Amino acid sequence: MEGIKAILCRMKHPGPLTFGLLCVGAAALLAPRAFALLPLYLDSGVRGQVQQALERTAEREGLLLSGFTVRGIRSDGMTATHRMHTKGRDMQRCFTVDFATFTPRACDEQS
Amino acid sequence: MRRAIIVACLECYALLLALLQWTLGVDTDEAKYLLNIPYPHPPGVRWALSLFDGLAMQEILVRVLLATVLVQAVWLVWDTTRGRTEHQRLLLATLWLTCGGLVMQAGTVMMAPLTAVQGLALFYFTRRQVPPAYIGVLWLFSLFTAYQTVLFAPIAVAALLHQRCSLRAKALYFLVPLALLALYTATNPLIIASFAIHGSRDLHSSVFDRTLATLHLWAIGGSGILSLFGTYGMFRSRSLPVAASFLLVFAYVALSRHDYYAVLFAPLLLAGAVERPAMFRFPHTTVLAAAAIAGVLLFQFTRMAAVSSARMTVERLVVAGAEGPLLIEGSFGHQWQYESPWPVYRFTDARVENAGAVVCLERCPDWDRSSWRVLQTGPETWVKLEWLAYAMP
Repeated sequence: MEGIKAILCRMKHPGPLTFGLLCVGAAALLAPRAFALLPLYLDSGVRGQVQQALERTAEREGLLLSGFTVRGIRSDGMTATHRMHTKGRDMQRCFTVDFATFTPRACDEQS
Repeated sequence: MRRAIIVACLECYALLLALLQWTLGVDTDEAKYLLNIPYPHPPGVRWALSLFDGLAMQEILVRVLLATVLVQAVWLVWDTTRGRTEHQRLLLATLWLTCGGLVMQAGTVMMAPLTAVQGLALFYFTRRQVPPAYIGVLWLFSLFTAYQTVLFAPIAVAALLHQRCSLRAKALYFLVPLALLALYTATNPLIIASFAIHGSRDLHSSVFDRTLATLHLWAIGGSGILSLFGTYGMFRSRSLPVAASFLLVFAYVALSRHDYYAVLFAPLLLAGAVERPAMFRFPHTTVLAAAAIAGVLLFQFTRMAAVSSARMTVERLVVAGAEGPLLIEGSFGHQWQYESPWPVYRFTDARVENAGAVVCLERCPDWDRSSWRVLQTGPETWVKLEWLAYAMP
């Protein structure tokens, strides 16, 4: 504890605490998401399949690629959400795409 | 009282610059921030701007807010120059307010002007004793505003080294935000893809062309006068952090070639001028010349700027009484999403049946147009007849 205090200089200012909380909060938010996308960075095959799945879904549905967020990657497919960025409330849809067929299905259509 | 009057005058200036940008409409990069589209920059400010999403006055509100930040940053200039003569302080403050980067970028919904102010704030901390964690928080927030903040890393290091604190703590305040930014980047593959696309932009241009274009932006960034004196000041005073950041910005602008990066030069040029304010031998002439150049830049900018075709087209569609989704054929920017009150899709045969309007930015595809009428030819825009009949009984 004394070591942390020493690292963050003196605790008489709220600065070190604010900095620490912001960093820990950001890391806690980002780390699980980065972990979920790990296959994308470790396997070029998966990277290609995800890219193809997103491009095909976008083309078929007339959607913009920038609206997609990859939520999860499995060995046989992926889940992504698409946000229709508009003024006011955005419409959001969820897709699952099978890497074998690259056909997108709405998440709630899954058996 | 005197200070309140100055603040009010500065606010009028900010309002004027914001209104000027507002008349031109939203461009694709601005729409990304207004609609909180998650690339190319991290969400620090983008998310805050999205809180205004849905307000009828969102665009003008955000423009005024961002112009205010850039213009009122002159108080930071004023405080940075503490210890100089009143004339020198006034001169440097005026040079900030009249630099081309500010005149042409204040009121745009872009991250570059904010990065410029954050760079100025980091420079301010190289001359003031503050708790180092404050610099850590500013560095973290700045990095999560825009990636280009890393160009000011030498100044951030100098600001931290200037504080009384262990070297380990300084390293922590500098490196942890960078690590978090790397982690954020890993969570958003779209950003990495966007870097790859922009990195290969304009590769055919020669080194000479790139240098010339960058010098042009350097000159605009400081309205010529600040560009010359600021650069001279930073190298003559051997201000290593400022000079290092300047070279990084120069290289970055040369590679990326976006006009709106001119504003990134402004805080560095000002920092250079702050180091050697005595070099301004004719302060009154300098102020007048800087104001005149700013006026010319503003005039040129308004003369050459064109109103966005997305705004004009959508306005025509609204007047025509169109309803329903808007389909676009060809590559289009996010401004269409922002201007359109309806969802925007790429043109597909499956979507035409339920669409209200089709805009062709490239050659129009074929579809059954018996129930459609052309509304305008530039860009070619089609509206469903039922809406026209509804609008003009």
